Amino acid sequence: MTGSDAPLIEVEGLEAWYGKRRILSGVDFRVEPGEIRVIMGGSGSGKSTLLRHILGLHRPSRGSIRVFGTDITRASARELQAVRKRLGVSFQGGALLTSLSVGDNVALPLREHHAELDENQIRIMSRMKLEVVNLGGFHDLMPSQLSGGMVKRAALARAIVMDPRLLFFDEPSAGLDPVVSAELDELILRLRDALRMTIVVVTHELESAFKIADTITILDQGQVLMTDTVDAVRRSDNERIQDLLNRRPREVVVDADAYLRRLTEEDA
Amino acid sequence: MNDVVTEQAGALTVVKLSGEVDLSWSARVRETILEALERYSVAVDLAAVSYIDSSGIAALVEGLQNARDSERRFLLVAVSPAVRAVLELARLDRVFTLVPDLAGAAAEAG
Repeated sequence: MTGSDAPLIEVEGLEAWYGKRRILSGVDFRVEPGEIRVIMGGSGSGKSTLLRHILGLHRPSRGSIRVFGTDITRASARELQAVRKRLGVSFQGGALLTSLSVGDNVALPLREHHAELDENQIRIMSRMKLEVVNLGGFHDLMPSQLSGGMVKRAALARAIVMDPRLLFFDEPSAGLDPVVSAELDELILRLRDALRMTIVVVTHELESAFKIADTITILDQGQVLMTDTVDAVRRSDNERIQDLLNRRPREVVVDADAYLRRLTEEDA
Repeated sequence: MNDVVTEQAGALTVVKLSGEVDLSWSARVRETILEALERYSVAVDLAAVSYIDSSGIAALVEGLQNARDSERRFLLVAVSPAVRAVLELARLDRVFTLVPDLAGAAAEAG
């Protein structure tokens, strides 16, 4: 176990490959308790890959990943389970089980990990989280009866049902109307303040990132361009960062030889 | 520092909580509250609570539910900012009766 002030996430020198393609290289990433960290970057910058490594879904080619002080690249299945019990994950797409009611979906982690709780407690705890995401009274519905935004909020209710110390949120506002998306931003701030969660958010939405982040990590082509406060990121004179902030298309550098090889060689 | 103690104040049992109320011991909080409600109205003193998780809040909700069924009063006293933040998150501050101090609780419980 680590002390309460130790970083909750410590990634050092992370390198990841998908086949022949290097997705991450030399990534250092550290998140302190109580922080709201936003990871930004264009499509293919490695955001999701970094997240998947921190969650222990992929093993890195090189580097170390500590979560709650446990090196998850070397952890046993049991240690990994102990880490995961203290994590909440709300992924893009929601991933509710279609055969269970919304209430049962939200209650699932409690039933799975806390056999000591009785049904009355489980009911109260899970319905309370539906209230928190503004889905009070929706527990009896099936996921297919919800709108996209509601599914997303129900998935968030499930992610926070065990009061995780560390919450991961992948693209919270993608596909949501502006009001719901602003409500979610507000909720993220309140979850940190009231339930003392440390929260890592992956997002494309600049407005949302600037509103909720304490610190921002900017990934570009598999490398960390910058990790700093919102103000420092805004003021950065790095061209790639300004491109990202100002939504400027990037200049694609064409290496004629490499291009030709990609088009023609059998094992390229 | 995590503790639950009960004191009798006339027709009211005061359940005093302190420390961080979480899943590791909220079952004890729940039992204490439900047991006290078998005989008296209950005031839960939350002044010394620095953190409460959903299982702790659920114990309070069960207390309220139980008190309503048995027509007793269930009051939250001297709610600390940490507890208030969690109650407000789920809008439960509008469901519980919150009183500032024990004198207020005694008056409220009549």
